Parts: sequence; structure tokens; C-alpha cells
Amino acid sequence: MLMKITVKLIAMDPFSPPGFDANGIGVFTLADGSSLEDLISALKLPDGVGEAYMTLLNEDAVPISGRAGVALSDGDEVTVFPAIKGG
Amino acid sequence: MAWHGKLLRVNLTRGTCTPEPLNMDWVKLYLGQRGLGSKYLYEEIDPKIDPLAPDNKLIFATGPLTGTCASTGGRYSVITKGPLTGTIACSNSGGQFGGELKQAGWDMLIIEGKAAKPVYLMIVDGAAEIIDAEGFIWGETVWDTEDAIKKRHQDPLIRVASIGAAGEALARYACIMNDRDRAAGRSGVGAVMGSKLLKAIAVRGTTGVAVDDPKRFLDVTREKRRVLDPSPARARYSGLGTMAMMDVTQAHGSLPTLNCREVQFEHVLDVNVKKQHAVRRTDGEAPYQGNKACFACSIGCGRMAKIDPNHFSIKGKARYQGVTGGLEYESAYAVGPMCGVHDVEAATYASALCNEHGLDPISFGATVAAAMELFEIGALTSEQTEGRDFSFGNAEALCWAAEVTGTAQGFGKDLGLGAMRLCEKYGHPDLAMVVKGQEFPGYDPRAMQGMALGYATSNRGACHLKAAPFVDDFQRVTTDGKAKIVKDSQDYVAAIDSSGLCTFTKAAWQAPDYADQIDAACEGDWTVERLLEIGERIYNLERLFNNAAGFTAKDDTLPKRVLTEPAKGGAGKGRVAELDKMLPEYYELRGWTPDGEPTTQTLQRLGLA
Ligand code: SF4
Repeated sequence: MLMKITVKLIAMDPFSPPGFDANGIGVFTLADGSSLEDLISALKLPDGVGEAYMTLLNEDAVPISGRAGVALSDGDEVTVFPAIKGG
Repeated sequence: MAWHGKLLRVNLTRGTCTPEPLNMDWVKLYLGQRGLGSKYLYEEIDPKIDPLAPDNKLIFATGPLTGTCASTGGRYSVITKGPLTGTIACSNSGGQFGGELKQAGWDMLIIEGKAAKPVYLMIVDGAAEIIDAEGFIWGETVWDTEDAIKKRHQDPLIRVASIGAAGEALARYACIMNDRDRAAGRSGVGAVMGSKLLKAIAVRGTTGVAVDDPKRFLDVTREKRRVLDPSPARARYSGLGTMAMMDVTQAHGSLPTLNCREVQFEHVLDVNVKKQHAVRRTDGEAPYQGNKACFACSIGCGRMAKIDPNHFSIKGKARYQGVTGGLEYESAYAVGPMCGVHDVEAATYASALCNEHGLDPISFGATVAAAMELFEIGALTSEQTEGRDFSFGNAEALCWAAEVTGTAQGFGKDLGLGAMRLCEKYGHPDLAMVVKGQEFPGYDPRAMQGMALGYATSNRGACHLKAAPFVDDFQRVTTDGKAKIVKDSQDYVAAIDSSGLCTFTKAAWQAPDYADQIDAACEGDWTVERLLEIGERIYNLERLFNNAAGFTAKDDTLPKRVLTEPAKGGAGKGRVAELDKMLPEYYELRGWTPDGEPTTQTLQRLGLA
């Protein structure tokens, strides 16, 4: 079984990296049972010095440390943004 | 070294400018800028005085790295007793002014007393002069004031910090502007300047800044740039600016909207960073026109913008049709979602007027939002708003409000009171989204419990810059562990705010990166531990000031709305700000009594007893 997960990338420069549409939205297919951590690894986001990505799963915040334990379901929506520190 | 060891004391009552040695014993304990300025203020004024009385002092303080080649090393702070809150106020600004002041040979200016008539201060290296401003720049805008001073003194490299009509009229959230669109923005420091009849400080500096170990300092600052410059955080600040935050708070459900009735804005796409970068059909240009960097900064986050010349706000007004300071996240949230306004041109115009007239756009926007809610419930009527519909979302009302508040006319005088005094005046104090009288910045505290605690315990009222719980708040909406994150980051930020460097660097630099640079510039062992202790000392000193001014634990609170009305959506859906779960632990970690006062033991440990 495969799952379709919608990923929305925000606060990213450029707005829409490869694999995402003009609104920063991409649909990814993952194997059943994949975790949120699996999804983030599969996205291959640029990972610079001290950079990490925050995630919201269908609006709920999921801590980086908890991602491996969160199983995704078909149709989930995941919002991803860099660890923005305010100002 | 890195300090000149010199401050300039300007007594406006007597009309004197007197150089004094800097207290180097205090430098060892408070570093510079925010910390050192706060120490001077604490020692020199009675915290109970009226902030707008001549007894109040206005301190312009640089840090040891201000005016050096360390990246972002151009910051200065204005420290005073704030007229918006009655607490100690400390507003940090960039641009070129701070670096110029330091290069003129001064670590600090202390302005005291009150002039008999409007004046400005002219500093050229070691020479300082108080000059008549009446008939010259008094009554002029910030932009015209800068131009006029440069022209009169025939030097385009003079840097100016000044107030506009809002500061002259003592608007409670007037700022001190420098370099046209950079601001010591919060807490009404510009009203204190206005109360002293001081229109501007102009400075030209050519003496340079010496450091303790020049070779090591060059090596270390270069090494730190190799960390900062290629970092994704720098790329984001430069590429998108702080406006990138709006999509995050929207998705997270922490975007204060409609005076905090909502936590997400249905029209966010009309005022977000993408809209700022989108090319208009009308004139083929985008609002975003490019970046502007402060002194020595290798990030360059500042936005420059062009308002649509066909937009109603500036049609026929040539003055606003060029490139001007653009929307930053905090101003955009306040004049956008907080007021329900989804017109990026109107928001840019309102923000530009705040720059031109010297108003804090955060407090301005949040005050307009409160007025819009007062209007919607009938507490304000078109009688006050001069026949205007002041409903949420009305972009024309926002633009008019910026014009009349900036120039302190009619209803603008009411808006210049700030949200707390406005809502009290019209009988609904609960509608002011303030802490200790200062309006919220762009983070709703219900989905961000660390921010809730940070707002409540900030020494200058609601503030997003005095604690840094962002990364944890965006991951966890629960309260556990927040007290420590807030306390530790408050101390850390207090140290950075005292160094001369910009707080945005902490997105790429860690504590040792600051310590290394300070250590190379200054004599003595400047370790991370020492800097964090200095930060903690500063935080406690500011608290002592506030306690002596009459503030107690009861003031460490938030508006009723965010304590009782659950968030309607986002990650914090169904939650309120749960201060009561965090405050006792916070006081304990701080070494304060349950009444929020530092214990004798804490004061002794920090050398404050
Ligand atoms: S990061 Fe932005 S605010 Fe900070 S010094 Fe640089 S340009 Fe100024």
C-alpha cells in the first residue's frame, strides 16, 4: 500500500524548491507505515549549519524529537518550515 | 579597549555638554549598551518619577563591538524610563547612527534635564554643541529633519537620530528614528526625547575604534563571518527578510488577528512575503525593491519597498512614490492581520508613515486594532473617527489613522495614547492587547506558551525580543519546560543586547561565537559563563528598577482575552495562555520570591545587593 501525503513548504527561499508547485505545495507518495521522520528525510531539504525543520501535521505541532514515532496516514497534510528564530 | 572609556553628559537645562570617564568597574559587570545603560539609569534616577518629567534621563549606549568590523556591529540602545509602560525601557536600533557615535569617540550619551526651547545636539568627534531647532527642524518630519541637518552642516555623512511630530506631541509610543527608517522603536523613548525638547542628535565620527588585539580580532571576526555568511538563516533573512515569519505564524495559529479575536488571518495571502515580492499588474513592479544593511552587517535583512503609485494612499503624493523602508514582519502583522487589513500597499504606506513621523508601528497597529474593536462594539463612534467607518479591515481608515497619529491631530491624539490608555478612556480596558501597557508584537501567546511567559515577564512589557522561545514554541504547545527556556534565553539575549551586535545573528551564531569576538576586542576573560552571568545580572537589575517603580508579580500577566478565550484554530486550538502553570517555576528558577522580587541571596550572588 502507498500513501499520498501533501507537503506544504513555507518560509523558504526560493518559495518553491524543485518538486513543489508555485505555492510551495508538493504531493509525495510513501510506503504504508512511514513516519513523519521518513517523510522529512525523503524531502532532502537543504541542511545547512544548525538548520532544522519544524513540522505541523494537519495543524498539530510535532517536535523534531517525536517525528520518528509519528506514523503518517493517507491524505495527511504536513507543513514544513525552517527553524526560524524570530525577530 | 573596544570602549573609549568616555561618555558625554548633556544637560539641556543648563545647556552644557561635559565629557566624563566611563565607569570601567561597571563595564566589567554590565558589558555595554543595554546592560551599562541600565546600570547608569538605575543609579541616576528615582524609578518612581514621571517618565516625561525633566528628571528622567535618556541614555544612548553603544556596546564594545559597536563601530567595529564584527558583522552587525553597529547597534546602540536607548535606555530610559518608558512613558508607555512606566517600566525601564530599552530600545535597540541598527542603521548607521550607533557605529558613527562610537567612531566619534563616545561610548555613551546621557541626556538630562529639559531645554528651554527646542534644540538639537551636534557632535563632531570630540566636540559637541547644543543648537537651536526652532524655525529650523522643530515640527518637521524625521526625513526632512535628517535632510535639513545634513544640508546645513554640509556633510552627507552626518548620521541623525531624531523624533517626528509624534515624539514632539509626546505620543506614548513615539520612537527615535535614525537613518530614515531604523528605529529605537518600542516603549515610547521618542516621547521622552520630545519631553526634553530635543529634536535630534546629529553625529559625525572619524576617530575609529581601537580593539585589544587587532590581529586576533580580525581573525576571529572573519572566522565568525565564515559561519554566519553561508548559513541558511542568513540567506533567509536576506532573501525573504523577517516577513517570512507570517506564513509560519499563520500555519501555526499564532498570528494575532482582529485584535486577537482570531489566531489566523483568512486573507493572509494578500499581505504575506509572497505578496510583498509579487509583481503588480498596475505598474509592473513589486512592493519589494531590495535590501538595506545596517553598519557592518553581512546579513542585510532590511526591506526597501515601493508603494503602487496608483494606490489611493499615495496618489498624487510624489513624496511617497519613491523607494522607502518596507514592511518587516512585526510592522506588517500589526497594520495587517491585527487590524484585519489585507491591502499590502496600505500596510506599506502606514508603516512608512510610522517611519516618517517616528511612531512604533507595532504599538500603532495594535492600538488601531483596539480602536477598531471599540468601534465595532459601539464604544467609539464616527463622532470620534471624524465620520469614518473604523471597522476591522478598512484600509482607508488605517491610512488615515497613520496620518493623524503621526501628525498628532484630532483622533490621532487618542490613538497616540496607546491601546491601554485608549481602551481605558473608552471604558473597555480588557480590549487592550498589552502587557504592562505595551502592545503585543506578532505572536499570539495561546499557541506559544513560552512567548506567553516571555511577554508577561519582559521588563519592558510585551516584547518578542527579550526572550527567544521560538524554536521550542513552534514544536510544543504545552507549558512544561518553558520556564527554563524563557529564563535562559532572557539572560542570553540581555548579553547579546549589551555587545553591540544584532540579535538576528543568533540564528547562526552560538554563545561562544559572541564570547570569542568580545574577548578578542576587550581586555579580560570574556567567557560564555561570564556573559550569561552578566545577562542574568542585567535582567535582575531591570527587575529591581521595575519593582522600585511599583511593579509587582500582579503585573506579570496577560490580557484577559488570551487567558480565558481559547484559540479558535491552529496548533494551539482550544488552548489559552497558561501563565499560572509557568510563573511559579519561573520565579523559582530566577531566585525570586513568589511575589516576583529577587531574594537577597540572588542579589548577593549577582553582586546586586
Ligand atoms: S540583521 Fe538586519 S537588523 Fe540586524 S544589523 Fe543586519 S540589517 Fe540590521
